[in-house]
Amino acid sequence: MTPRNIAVLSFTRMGDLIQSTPLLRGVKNHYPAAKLIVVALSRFVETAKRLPMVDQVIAFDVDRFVQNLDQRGALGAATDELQQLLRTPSLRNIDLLINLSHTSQSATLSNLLRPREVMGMHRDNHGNRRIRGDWFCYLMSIMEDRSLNPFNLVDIYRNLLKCEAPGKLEFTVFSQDVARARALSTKNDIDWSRPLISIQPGASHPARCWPPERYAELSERLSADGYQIVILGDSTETALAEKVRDMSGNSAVVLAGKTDVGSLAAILKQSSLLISNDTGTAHVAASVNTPVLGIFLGPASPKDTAPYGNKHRLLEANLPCAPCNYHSICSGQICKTMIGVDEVLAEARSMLSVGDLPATSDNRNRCSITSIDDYGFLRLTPIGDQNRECCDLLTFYRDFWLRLLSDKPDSVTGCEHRGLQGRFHTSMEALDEIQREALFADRCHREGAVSRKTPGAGIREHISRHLNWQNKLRGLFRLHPEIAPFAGYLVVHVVLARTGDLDCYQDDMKTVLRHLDRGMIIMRNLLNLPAAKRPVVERELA
Amino acid sequence: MRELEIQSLVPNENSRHLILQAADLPVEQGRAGEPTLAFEGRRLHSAVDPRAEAQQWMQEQKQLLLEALQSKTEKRVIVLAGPALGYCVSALEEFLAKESFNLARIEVHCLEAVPEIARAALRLRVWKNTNLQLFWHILNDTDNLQEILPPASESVTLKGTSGYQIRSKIYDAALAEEIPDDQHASLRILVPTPLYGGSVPAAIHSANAFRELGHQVELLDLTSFYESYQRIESLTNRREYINRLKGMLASFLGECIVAKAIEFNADLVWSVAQTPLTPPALQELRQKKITSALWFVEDYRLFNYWREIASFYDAVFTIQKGEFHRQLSKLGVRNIAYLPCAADPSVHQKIELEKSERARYASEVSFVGAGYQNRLQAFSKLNLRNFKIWGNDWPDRGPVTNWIQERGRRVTTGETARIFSATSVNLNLHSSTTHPGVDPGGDFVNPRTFEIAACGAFQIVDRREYLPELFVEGKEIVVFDRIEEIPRLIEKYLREETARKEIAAKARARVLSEHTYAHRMNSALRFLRTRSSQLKKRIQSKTTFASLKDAVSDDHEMIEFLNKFDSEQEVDLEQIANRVQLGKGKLTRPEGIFLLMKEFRDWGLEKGVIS
Repeated sequence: MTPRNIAVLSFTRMGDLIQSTPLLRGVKNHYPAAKLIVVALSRFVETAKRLPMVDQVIAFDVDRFVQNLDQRGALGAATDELQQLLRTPSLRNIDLLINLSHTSQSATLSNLLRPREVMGMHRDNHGNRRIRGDWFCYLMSIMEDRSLNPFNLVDIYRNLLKCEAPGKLEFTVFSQDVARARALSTKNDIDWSRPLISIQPGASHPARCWPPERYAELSERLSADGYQIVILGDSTETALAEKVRDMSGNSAVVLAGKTDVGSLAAILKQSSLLISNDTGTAHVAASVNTPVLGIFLGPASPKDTAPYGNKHRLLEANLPCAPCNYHSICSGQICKTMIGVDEVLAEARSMLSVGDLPATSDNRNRCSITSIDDYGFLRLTPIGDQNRECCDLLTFYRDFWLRLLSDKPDSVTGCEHRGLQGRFHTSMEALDEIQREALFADRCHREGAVSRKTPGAGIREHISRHLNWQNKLRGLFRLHPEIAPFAGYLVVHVVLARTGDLDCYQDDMKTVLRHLDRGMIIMRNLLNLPAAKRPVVERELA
Repeated sequence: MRELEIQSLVPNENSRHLILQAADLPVEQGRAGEPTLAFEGRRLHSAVDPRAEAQQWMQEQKQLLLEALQSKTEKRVIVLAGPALGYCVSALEEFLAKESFNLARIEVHCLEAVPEIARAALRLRVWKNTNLQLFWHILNDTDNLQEILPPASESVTLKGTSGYQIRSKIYDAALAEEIPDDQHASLRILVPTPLYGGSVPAAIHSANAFRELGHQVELLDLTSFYESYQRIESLTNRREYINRLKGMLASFLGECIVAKAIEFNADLVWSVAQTPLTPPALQELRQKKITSALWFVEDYRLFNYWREIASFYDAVFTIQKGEFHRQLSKLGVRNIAYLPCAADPSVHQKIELEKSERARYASEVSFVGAGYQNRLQAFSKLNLRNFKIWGNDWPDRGPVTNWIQERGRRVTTGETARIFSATSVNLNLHSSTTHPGVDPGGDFVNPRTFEIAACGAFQIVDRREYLPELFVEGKEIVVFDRIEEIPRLIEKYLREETARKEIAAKARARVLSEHTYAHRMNSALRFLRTRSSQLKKRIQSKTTFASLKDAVSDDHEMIEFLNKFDSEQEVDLEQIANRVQLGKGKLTRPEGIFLLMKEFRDWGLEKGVIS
């Protein structure tokens, strides 16, 4: 049945909302008659309203809701608020629910909304957490470690559903937004007709922020080139913006804390360039076709969250630890000092076509330029040296995942991966062993080796039989890091297996085994390795 | 008026002091020849016939009184608020005698707001020789009814006429300490234990009692840290470092208690003596609006660390009164109440021993307790045949060695119940570090007294100041004043088995009806609920299942789900979510809603949206 009401749960931030626009456009194109509803956090409602393919936006004030949960006596209000959300007329008859969040609360809400069909994380009728869609599983598997993820988040979103999603961000700037932006500019002595450069010195975490004094010097020097500089940010970033302005000898105008998302987009649209840390502002700029010079520090990784589109430039420190792990604690973040003002200025001038081409061959930092390749994926083309090893692995995984998850028949990268054979030799053996043990555990179940006499005993026995290979699978992260992405993907399936029922658990284990088998075949194929002497897995799993 | 003359009528020391210090009011002669009184220009009794006036008043109270006394078979406690000269006492006694009540079983507590009036009443004694158990109390700002009286649910309050009117606001305020309906909600109570020692069972029994009373209780067992505490002693001999390290351990454990209290969302942290709650930890609890209470179940004269911590508690309960209360007041403790020791009948109960157990625990005479010097001296003088001493800290050699059982090891709570049950005469001598034998200044009654009684066992106990208000001497308990009396009492009661069993049965009945931990915790909570504004506010802001049902009254599926829980219990997302069996059976909508709320709450805590 063609869905008439499609709801998208997007309990994410502004940047993620904008990054999901190609997917939303794909859904809208695929089901043009359907009403597309986005349930967003109330503080990002104005962003959601500016996504042109969205028909309705429903806000959920999660902060107030959570605070009510914590306040004694307010639990009734919280329950009421939740009930109101669930009773929203347009959410009472959902044909297709797409959950773009990966939290357990979004999974539970997906259950409570009782959609006819659901994609992404959800809870089934029995309350088990499940994920529907292989790309959703992939997205879940890279939440903790994205080091070997070869895809930009936008491309992952684009592939979540089997509908053609264009490789373009969208964001509507209303005429009122422009009017407000112009009024704000006039009030702050910004000449709307003169060239403008926006800078965004804040970010969601201090570890991602280039030092304010560098932004200040950059601002001063770009100002000397004849540009008007505006400093953007939300109300929590006003102090930082003022600091940058003060240090820049008042060469910049602070608009941080004075804009809403509409006027922010209008100012960005008017800007010749945005120089920003990895922020939602960068995605807004990309969505209104303003070139972005991104400075990626700490855990921010250009390959994951680079602004989508052509000709954005991204700088990161050329350090083995960059980008760092989400949870790593760094006392002396030297990546912040590696990217100098001269380099950023050179890239900026190059982008603005007012100076020499960038000279970033000092190996202190890496610079890439974005482009959309023939297959519609964002690519980062490096300027200067790159870490070849990582690049090879990334290319390998780009091919691997597209075959495994999207059934792409050929290599999309056009690369030969034979050179990685040696690297993968032992990890493939380890996978073989895991597969043998998993098949044995599966056979035990089929041949009735599991007791069903005592309630609960069978499932416990069966789970324990599968534990050994599952532990070995987890061990691959440490022992064979090159196989970690695939192991991580399988572990997501293991973690979400339904342990409350023997047959369900067995079905879920079979699914893991099928993914394992298929993944191994693709890997051997890509690496040009001979097929393993293995049991006829398909027959075993039939 | 000499103090001794009013001591039996005015048990409360503060009241006694106020009465003795009060001025004498001029007494007038009524036309019928009876004395009457005027105060602040108002006549408190009829100038013609105050007795007839009191009888009239009694007629008006008749209905209320009969109803209340009829339904209270165990308790017969009457509170007279504003009795003036006490003609109402005479009228009451006449009425009760006419109605064939056993006057000796009826306690009458006269509450008087004006010490001068009470002084006049006690001087004139218009009730003459009453058979009632009559007590007089002065009601002022610092006294509290809970300390003086049994709970309102167990007594009936009668208001005097003019005597009540002249200070009606004070009486109203005092008597309004009835717990309003919204204050009956179940509380979340955290009970941390001390690391070791005699107070640990008090914490455990308190927790059990709170649970029995329908509260949500978390017992935080800190006894596993005792090993760490002991290890400190083996690290170094330098006292300075030992003290410093012990202080650090106490701070650490204090933080543990605070963390647990916040995690558990406690309304009240109930701690007993020796619980490692430091002033900073207590300050943090107060900051988090969590009420803290200390039950100091130790002799304040012997252990004086209460001086450092008492003022940081929101309330302090004590097993001693008078001077201790005055000292606590001086320290700035605002809420102080007397809360004697008690027994937990689920632990201390009549136990029929197996044959093998009898051989081990049975004896004609037993003593259970640590080897304090006064006990050692006392028992050395005894020449008993079949005597067993259980407990630790007794000397290896000496006159009592032969009686010490199983090398003086510490006995468990379960064993004490067996020993008490299997002993004909339990000897109970309160410890003293200041006096040999019986401590003449001993006031509080130890837990063992209640525990032996709860086991339905017979005991002889040394005289204690507070004993008469807890047990009736000779009927429920046998008391000795000097060590020399012990052999005679033992001999007598070994001989008189029937009397022994009768006394033991009465003592047990008294404990079960008045002296269990549940009674004590109930009194403590009544006191806290009326005294701690912080606790009051928390209770008022609680979402109980009942109030949540009101909020979702149009949602029948939700109501049905909420009906599975106790209406008076506070809604606990964690508890509900834990009951949702994921993967087993269908996840219902109400289950999903509560699961979602719990998940959002966890998320909020993790992200710091809430703290």
